[in-house]
Amino acid sequence: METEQFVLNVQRCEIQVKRTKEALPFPRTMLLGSLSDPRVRVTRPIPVEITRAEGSVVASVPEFEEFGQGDTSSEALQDLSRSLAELFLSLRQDQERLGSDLHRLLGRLQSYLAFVALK
Amino acid sequence: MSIEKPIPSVLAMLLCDVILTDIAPTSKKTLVGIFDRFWTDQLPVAAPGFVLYAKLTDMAGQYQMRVDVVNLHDEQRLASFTVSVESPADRLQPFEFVVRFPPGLKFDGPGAYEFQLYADEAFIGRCVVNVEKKEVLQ
Repeated sequence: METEQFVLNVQRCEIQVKRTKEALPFPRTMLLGSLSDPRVRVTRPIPVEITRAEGSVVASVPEFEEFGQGDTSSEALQDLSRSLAELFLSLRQDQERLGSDLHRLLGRLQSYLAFVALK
Repeated sequence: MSIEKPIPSVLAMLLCDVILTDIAPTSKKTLVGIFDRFWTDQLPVAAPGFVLYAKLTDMAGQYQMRVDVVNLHDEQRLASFTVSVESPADRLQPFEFVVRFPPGLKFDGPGAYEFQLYADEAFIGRCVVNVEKKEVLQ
């Protein structure tokens, strides 16, 4: 890994930036702090696993058995973000009719996500 | 990050050539030369100076903000830095996060490069710049 330092101006203070050529590892874990759907807000960061499989990148949340796929980790994260939002919104909409398993799943999702009523 | 501490929401995240800031009390910002691609006739290329602007809200307390610059083609991190920021007193008041990159950030090849924004290690936003090679007409 090559590293080089340069000075950056952020909020009127100077900080050192690490300029690198560092390959991001696979698999790796990251925290997802926002979803693409404005109706869904992340209240607690969601642990996400990023892996490579058959030439594409997969972002998954094992706890919810949800995943997203793409050519890059960014695309995979966006796909996962859409899947999580759709799952949460559909379960929330049908919560009166859910069986016990899906009700528990909604409860687990609600420990990370909240619904935002758009004006 | 504790459960009580909100995760900042990104209202806007843009790259531009320069930001003009009005004098107080308004301190309004004008973003000049918003872009999402670099044209170059040779690669690798060292980018000219530019600015990353992010408008955030729903913040309470102190956050470690991290920016990673990642080549999406080969998943290489080109640059990374972390800075501590203090939120406004009012949780829902917008917060402007401005980073001035000096000239010299090097892009090795054509393709998409992502500026990823993290708050206390949680990924909260992104913006992409596409680096494209343009032949110079002789």
